[in-house]
Amino acid sequence: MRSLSLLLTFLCTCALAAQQESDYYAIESISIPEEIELEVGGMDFMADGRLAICTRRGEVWLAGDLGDKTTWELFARGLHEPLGLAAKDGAIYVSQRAEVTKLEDTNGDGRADVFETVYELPLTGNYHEYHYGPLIMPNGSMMSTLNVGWEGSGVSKVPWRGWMMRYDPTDKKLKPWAAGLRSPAGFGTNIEGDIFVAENQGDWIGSGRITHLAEGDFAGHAASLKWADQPGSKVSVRMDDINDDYGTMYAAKKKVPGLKLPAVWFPHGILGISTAAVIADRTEGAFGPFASHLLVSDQGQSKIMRVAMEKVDGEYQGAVFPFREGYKSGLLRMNFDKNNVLWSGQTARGWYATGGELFALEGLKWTGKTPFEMYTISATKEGFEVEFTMPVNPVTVKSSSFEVQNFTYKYHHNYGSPVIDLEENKVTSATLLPDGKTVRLVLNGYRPGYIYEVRVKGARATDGTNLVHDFGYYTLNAIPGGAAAGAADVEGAMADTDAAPKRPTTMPADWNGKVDEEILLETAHGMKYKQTYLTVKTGSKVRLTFRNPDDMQHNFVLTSGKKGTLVGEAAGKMGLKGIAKAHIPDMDAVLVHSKLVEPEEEDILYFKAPSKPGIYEFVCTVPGHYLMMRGVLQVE
Amino acid sequence: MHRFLPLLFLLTACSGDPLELHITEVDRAIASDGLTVVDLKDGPLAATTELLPKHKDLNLKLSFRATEGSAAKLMLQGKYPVELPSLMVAGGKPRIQPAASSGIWQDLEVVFIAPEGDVPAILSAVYLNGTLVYYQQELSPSDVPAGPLTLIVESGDVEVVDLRYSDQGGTSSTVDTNGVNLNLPLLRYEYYDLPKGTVDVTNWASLTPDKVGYINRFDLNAIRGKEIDYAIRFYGKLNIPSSGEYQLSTYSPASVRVFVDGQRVVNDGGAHGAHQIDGFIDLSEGRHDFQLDYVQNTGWNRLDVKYLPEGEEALKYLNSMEEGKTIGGLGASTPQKLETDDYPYLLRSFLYFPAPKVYEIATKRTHVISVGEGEGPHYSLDLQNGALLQMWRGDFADTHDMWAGRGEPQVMRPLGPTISFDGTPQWTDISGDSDEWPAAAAESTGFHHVRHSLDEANRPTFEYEMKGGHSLTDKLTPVNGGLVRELVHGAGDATTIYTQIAAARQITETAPGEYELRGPGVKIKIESYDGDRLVLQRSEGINRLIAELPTKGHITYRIDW
Repeated sequence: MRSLSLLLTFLCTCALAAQQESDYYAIESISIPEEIELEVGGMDFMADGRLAICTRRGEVWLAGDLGDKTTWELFARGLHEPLGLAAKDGAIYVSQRAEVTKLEDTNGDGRADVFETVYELPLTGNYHEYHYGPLIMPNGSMMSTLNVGWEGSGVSKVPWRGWMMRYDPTDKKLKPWAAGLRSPAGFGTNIEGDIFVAENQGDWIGSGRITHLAEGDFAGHAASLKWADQPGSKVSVRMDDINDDYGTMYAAKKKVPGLKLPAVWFPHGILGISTAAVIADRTEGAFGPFASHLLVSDQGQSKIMRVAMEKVDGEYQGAVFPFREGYKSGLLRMNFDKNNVLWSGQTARGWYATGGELFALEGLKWTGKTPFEMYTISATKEGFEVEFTMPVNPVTVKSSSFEVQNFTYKYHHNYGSPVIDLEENKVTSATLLPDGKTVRLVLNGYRPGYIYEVRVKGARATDGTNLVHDFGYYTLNAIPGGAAAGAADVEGAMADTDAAPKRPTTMPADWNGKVDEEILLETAHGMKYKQTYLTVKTGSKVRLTFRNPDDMQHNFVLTSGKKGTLVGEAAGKMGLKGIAKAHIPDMDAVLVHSKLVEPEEEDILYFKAPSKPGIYEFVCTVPGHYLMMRGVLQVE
Repeated sequence: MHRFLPLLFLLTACSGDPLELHITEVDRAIASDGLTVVDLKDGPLAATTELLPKHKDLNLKLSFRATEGSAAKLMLQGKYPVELPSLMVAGGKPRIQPAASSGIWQDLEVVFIAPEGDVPAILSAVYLNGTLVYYQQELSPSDVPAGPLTLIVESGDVEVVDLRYSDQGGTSSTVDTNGVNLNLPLLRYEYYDLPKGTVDVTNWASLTPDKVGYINRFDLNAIRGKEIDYAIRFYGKLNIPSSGEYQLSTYSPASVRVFVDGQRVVNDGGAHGAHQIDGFIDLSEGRHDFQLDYVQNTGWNRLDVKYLPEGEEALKYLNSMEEGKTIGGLGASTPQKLETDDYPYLLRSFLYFPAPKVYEIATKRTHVISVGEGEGPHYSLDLQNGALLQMWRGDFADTHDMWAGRGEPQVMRPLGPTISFDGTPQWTDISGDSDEWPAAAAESTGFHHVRHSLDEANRPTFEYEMKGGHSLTDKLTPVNGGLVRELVHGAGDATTIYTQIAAARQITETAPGEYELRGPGVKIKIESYDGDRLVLQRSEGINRLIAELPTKGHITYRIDW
């Protein structure tokens, strides 16, 4: 996945040179008094226009006149790591670890003096048992989400860890709503009022994503199912139903109908690493051209993504696009003020964020200019329709202006997932529709159950403007009007990559159990080999142990000279074959290679060093890695 | 319930003094702590009293009470003094300023490890009323391995009671129904800072440790100064209670070797992934030299040491930081002191309760609120059962373990020496004097916190509800160094309810409505009470003072220590 990320970084940089996000959306930072550690856990605007903010250190601040002369008033302190706040009817509701609490100032001195327990939660004391919300629904009920605990894997040792809950204030009951959550740090409703929860990569969660949660849904993380048969639960899935054997969530869904597929996957490392707040653009155009789209923040990458969805066969699916990056810290919360400025409450303590600051409060304002962007992607029977925000120059619309490939993630108890089953889609036709803004793409190899990367190469607006962002990812759970075969048998698609002629894993008998050179080669974090310079004697018998202590897959490919770039590039162009052949291109320049080594695993190779002295480059051929991950074998 | 007893009894009870104390014996089984009880005479001790004739390693518990201005020395092995009541130890740096008020019983716990060869005597741990005062305090070396435990009273009156001991210094190996349980009572360590990229160490003899110390578990995080490129050598005495073949296993991504009596049992040196390596050794009954060499050559700091006694099925942890268990560590070396002011600070947090013994398995209370103002007294309540857990004076709270990094333990640590009760429910609907007080609030009681609201001085009153329509409040006010507590039974369906005033190892009535407690050492005085039944429940190891509260009834009492 990082490979894609890296490639995209290059590509994005090129695109950004032409069009800046800041031309369309401007960030304004609020200066925070030195004595306030504004590690935002939750926030909401009160009726009087002040922003109520709760912090991870348990304080509640009321910030007025956001701007140069912001006023700060301490409303409460000492709450237990509150990670959500809602203001309603003069009261402030916060989600502490152990409860939702209603805070009121009854004597008008500006400080909370009544702390009422709205509902209480059992806890084991595990730090990872976070509690988010409440989201107050139009009918007055309160939605909240509960992390699973973390003991090397997600665990649910007290009810209702891993669930979304609904509190009904009229009968004062807390009822289970939906299960299968891991670290649901944010959730919100779309303009139709349906609830979408953001999820973070981890065990059972291959990548970040948003999922529509209706009552009784199960979103994929197994630990929560411990309580599925308890009174009040409408979840039909049981613990026994969930295992690693399905391969993908899409395949599991065929056997386990109660499993809810993500509406939109956010490729890990590209569009976030820790999705958080979900908010709909309800400004009806006052925040730019994306009214009714969802904005989803990311804590780790200090940015906001944009989601445009449609309903196919009654279920949501859609596309995610980059929207705005460059924030100072990790975006945990977002709220619009009455002037349609989007405020982001940020924190990064314990979880590093790209922005680098420990916390921040920043507003985002539309400059009034319309960016040239992919507005939506919608599925058709044969491909996609990509609608742009502005009319497209017909001359720039052609098949070669679009690149499409699809892939998915594993559904398993392990942490995260590699990108699997990557396949390119040939764009057989690209047609500009009569509205002048929509391009219809017809694709080869169009299959449901996959995530589609749609990349625009060279299409421009009629006035010549370039795209601000030239890619998006559409999650195709269903094809309108019927389905072809999907990602049902992904494991089968991944052919046996271990057996290969240039991967000698046993010592030749004529070596008589002796090797001349014992070489250890290791990976290091940040796409590197730990050893970048190895030496051997010509023709010597080498046992090379390739160890991968990094947190992603890597390989070792020895080339026939200074051929690292050649081999790396060839591997990057293999598409689906790349996955099937462990990213080993079939070419003479490859002398010896390892298998694709999983994190914490190793591969041992036996080969004779080349008989000709010289420099022999070695690279990792996982797409994109060769640019950084390379070294040389000096044969003397 | 007593109110259904014959009318005559009821009349007698009602017409009596409301502060009359009804004493009842309650059956209650308590687990033995394995310590030997020493009977001492009541009253002030002579100038020199031999408490134990001879001891080597020692686990010691006692309660002492000293009059104002008195001074005494508890002499370990006849030569290592711990001063009473100040707990001063020559050259010792207390982790927290101990505060032992005169005239109040104080619980003292001492873990002492006798000198042996070059290794000096170690005051492994000293607790005052459950609060850790010293940890791994080195004393002077000595070639005399044993001596008497004596108390020397230099001035004033000093009483000592409840003296119990064992000849282990800390937790040693045992045999029980779970089989053989091995534990090294103490680990001595040497820490080495290594050059970048070190994979293994073979030239130990030529290296000089950058620091040395003592610890109870293989807690790498508490010792290391960085993430990689360091080594730690651990040494200890492993007592084998039952001879046989033992499997020793390590799990680590780093270089580990384990030696017993100089023989290498586990050899997992060099660079490798995280894995388990097993070794086997025949061990005779008795003490053996244990040594573990650890070289951190990877970014992941992880070391589990396990053992399997012959004939047993499952591996057990040996002095490891077991995953999934809450182990009470030492707390932050750099506390984040939460500043208090005149506006009471209401701090919600997790809390290790009972106060954790260092490096032992601890339990967390998860719905705790601590209230602090000025110099205190501060206090913590468990909002799930209404219990007054602890009280302390001095600084309020250390929030380091909540707010540094991710704040994984999420516990606040009191910054003063605490006085703790037993954490059982504040309110219950037991049906008579002699019903055992519940250890936890049963879900069926429906007990729950409703709200707390602040008064003019911004001090909270806590409100609870309980099945049966009971509405209950609790308010604590710091007054002259003590706490005044008012408990009110505001409403209920015409039934009475019991509340507890205090639980202690021993409660003695000193005057009507006045009580002296030992374990914890506090004095209680009832200031007003409109019920008519005060009960002292006495059982093995614990006394509990409880009061029946009728609807609209209340009790107000002072706690001093």
